[in-house]
Amino acid sequence: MENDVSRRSFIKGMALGTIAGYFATAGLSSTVFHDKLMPEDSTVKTDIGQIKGLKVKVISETSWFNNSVLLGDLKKAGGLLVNQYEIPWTTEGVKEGYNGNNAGGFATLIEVELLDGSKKNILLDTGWNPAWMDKRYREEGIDRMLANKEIDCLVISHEHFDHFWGIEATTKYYPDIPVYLPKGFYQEGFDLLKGKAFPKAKVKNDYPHTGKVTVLDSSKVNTLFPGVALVTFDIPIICRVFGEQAFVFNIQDKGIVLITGCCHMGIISYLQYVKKNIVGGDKIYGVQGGLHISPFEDWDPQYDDLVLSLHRYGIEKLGPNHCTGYVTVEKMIKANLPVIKGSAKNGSKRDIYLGNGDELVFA
Amino acid sequence: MESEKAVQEKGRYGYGLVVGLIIGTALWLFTVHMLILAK
Repeated sequence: MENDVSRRSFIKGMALGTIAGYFATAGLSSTVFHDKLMPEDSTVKTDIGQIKGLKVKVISETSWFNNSVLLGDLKKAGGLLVNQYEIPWTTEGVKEGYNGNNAGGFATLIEVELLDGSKKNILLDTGWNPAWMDKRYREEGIDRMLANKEIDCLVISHEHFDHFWGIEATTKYYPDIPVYLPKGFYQEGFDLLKGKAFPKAKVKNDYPHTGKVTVLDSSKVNTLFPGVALVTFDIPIICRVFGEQAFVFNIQDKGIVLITGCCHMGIISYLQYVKKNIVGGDKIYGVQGGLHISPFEDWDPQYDDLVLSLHRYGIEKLGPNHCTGYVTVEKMIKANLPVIKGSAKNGSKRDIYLGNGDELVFA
Repeated sequence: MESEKAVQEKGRYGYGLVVGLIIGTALWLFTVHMLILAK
């Protein structure tokens, strides 16, 4: 009997000890001894090389001229998931529009200086309304550069109407310009590039593309020139679009510069991808382009955290525009982020961010 | 004053606790080891 009581005490102690030992070791190993016990990150970073510097010229960041009209078009068509080629977009009768057309477009010229002193000119996106894009091209001398083949390639960030449908504005001057597309383009996109029209969506291309088309996927970092790379994200986007790519530049002695079209993958995913996969990704010198936070000037309190979290990356030059949204940029300025101001000209409404015709130098 | 029997019971309990702590620690380390192997 006495032995039974002793054995029961022993078992009680052992049961408690086992539970306590298990969780205490779990706690210690995931905190104090985490680095020793957990395997190291085995990701091999890609060395994209370096450049001397780059200059960004905003050709057009005004993708459409009236938010309500665009939202109305989407609503009437059946919502955000409807195929963009099936939506009858409003192209006339808009007071703020270009000749009544609500369509504008997004395009940026990137002038890169390589380490050997040579220059590369890259056109990021080609807008939506060919008439508007042609006007902006002529105002900024892009028409001449295209005709003289001074632009090395056209990179399409994603298939959205406001970034790609103005393709004829570019192919009109340079039909065989090398084109880089992200993986995920639908057949309609390839057909438009080759000259097919989509009357319902009021989009056409009278100047079929005749040059090389390269489709880039997300399996690796795609280096275009030394120090210049494209990264692709496999993401579904509204209006039945899939995939987006964005630039990574590595400037000697300065750090990484990210340039994006719309950034549907999210700025934090983009920053984290670069940090994890690219040599030098720990030092983000600058970010420029659409950051897709409040494109329709709506606001969700979680975006406050998003804006504040950008401080963690030590960005020195921040050039948001386009779909970032004015309300977001106001919050960024309030949060003391280094936002570069614009000049509110050529159709851009406010000077709180880089607008049409504004330039930003990273060097 | 505690009886000799009560002291003896506490001793047994403590002994069990120590053995349990060793088993618990070993169990966790075994779990981590298997998790790493499964990766």
